[in-house]
Amino acid sequence: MASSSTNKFVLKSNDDVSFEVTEAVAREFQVIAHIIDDDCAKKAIPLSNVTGEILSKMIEYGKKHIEEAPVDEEDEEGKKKLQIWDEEFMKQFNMEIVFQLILASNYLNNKGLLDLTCCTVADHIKDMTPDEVRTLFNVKNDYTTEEEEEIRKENSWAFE
Amino acid sequence: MKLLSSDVEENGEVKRKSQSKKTENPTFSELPLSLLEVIMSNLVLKDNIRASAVCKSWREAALSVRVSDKAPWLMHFPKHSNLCQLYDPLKRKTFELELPELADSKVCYSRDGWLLMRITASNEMFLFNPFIRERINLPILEHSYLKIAFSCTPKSGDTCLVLALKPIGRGVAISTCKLGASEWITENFPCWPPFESHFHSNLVYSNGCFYGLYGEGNLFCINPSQRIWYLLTQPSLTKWLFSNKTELSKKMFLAEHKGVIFGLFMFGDEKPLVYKLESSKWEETNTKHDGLTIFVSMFSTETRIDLPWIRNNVHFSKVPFDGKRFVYYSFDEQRYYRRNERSDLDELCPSRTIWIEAPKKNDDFGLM
Repeated sequence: MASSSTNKFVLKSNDDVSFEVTEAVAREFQVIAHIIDDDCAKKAIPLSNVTGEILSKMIEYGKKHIEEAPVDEEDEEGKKKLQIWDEEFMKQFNMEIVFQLILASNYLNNKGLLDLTCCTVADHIKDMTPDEVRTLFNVKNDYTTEEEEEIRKENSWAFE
Repeated sequence: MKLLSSDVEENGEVKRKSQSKKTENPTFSELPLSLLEVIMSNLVLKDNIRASAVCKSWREAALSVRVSDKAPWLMHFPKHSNLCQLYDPLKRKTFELELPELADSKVCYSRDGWLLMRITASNEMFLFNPFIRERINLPILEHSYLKIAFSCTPKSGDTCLVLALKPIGRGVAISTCKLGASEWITENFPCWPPFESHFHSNLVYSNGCFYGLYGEGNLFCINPSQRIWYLLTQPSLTKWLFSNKTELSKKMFLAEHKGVIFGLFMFGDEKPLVYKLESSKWEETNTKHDGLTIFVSMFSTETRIDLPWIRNNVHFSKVPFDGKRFVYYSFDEQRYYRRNERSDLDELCPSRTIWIEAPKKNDDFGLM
């Protein structure tokens, strides 16, 4: 078997965009790692739930985390650097892209990216009123007035 | 992998939907529950509660990951029966436990879900967990005591230490017993001002030391490993000391929350005074309680933060009428609830009642 740094795989999105990546980057996504291990990765690996736009972003993330991986558990500086990059990386996306990234990182099983995207959403929820949250995340209020009133009353301190 | 594959199907569903109406933003209420839970688990309690008001699917996710304190339960030991009642002040539920193990004994202290019991006739003492029904006997303490406490659950890695205190002359006799030891060790300490007042609080344990209040609000600290007793500080309790209330209507309690010591001073039907111990000094916390609820009983106290409905309260251990109507003081509303104005403070914290940490999972004990 060739070493994982030279071994290349082609990932194909559901809108037929192909990306050639090293084995190490491909293995950043658990689902793809399993496909490789099962030796089913002869040709391009089709990913039926991810668009090219989203897949390119995920590969960018995966590459960065391979190239700039902290040396070990104690490498605080390396961790910090990667964390800053993560924050900058997320800043470029609107909520629609974040939504797709959450689904895709869950589908391809990359825990780091899933945590990062979910954390980004959580950061937006903080200190917002329920109404502002609904607008930003395009959520319809499916409570009756009484139900919503009841929830607010139960923990009125949190809404002050 | 099994879990993942079921998610994949769900995701695929969501994805197709959002693609079919490409012009529209995807709606975050359609994320699978497992993913909403990941999002919600990044929120502090306050944001979690607010997020639960957004829509029903968010509420489901928010509730499933919400970490909030569980209220302690009030335990009542009837005089002539082994059928103990437990009251949950948050869910307003009552449970009953038949505990023949506790026949002829009186409750003396409670901590971490364990009770310290004393058999009146023989002076035998034991620790007892009413939920797992485990009993651990202590050696006989020959003399009487005024206050007693223990440091932690016998099940933790730390040594559980039981400490009893008794005034003698102008000092105090302190007896300690490590769980598993065959006898108590008693030592006398001089103490100034003398320990001869009508007022004294329960004992609390925090970071290796036992604390207690006596006299005019003197806080003492006992460090059992270094075998020292010392006076720590005294709050300026002018209002409390010189109020024209009778001694029966004055009470003080100590409480501990996450290592911080709180002093609770009550007089008559006035607003209770709460002090917080910060770098060995008392600081009055009358305006900001930060969501702290103190549960007081005659022998021990419990504290919780940010409980829904009953934040910033002092809850008393009087058996609630109907199992639901607890007696408490609300700092937010600055008033007592269901307290008979003439009732002494002793009546609010009867000796056959105590607050006890609730079991982590109620159904483990067949209580639900």
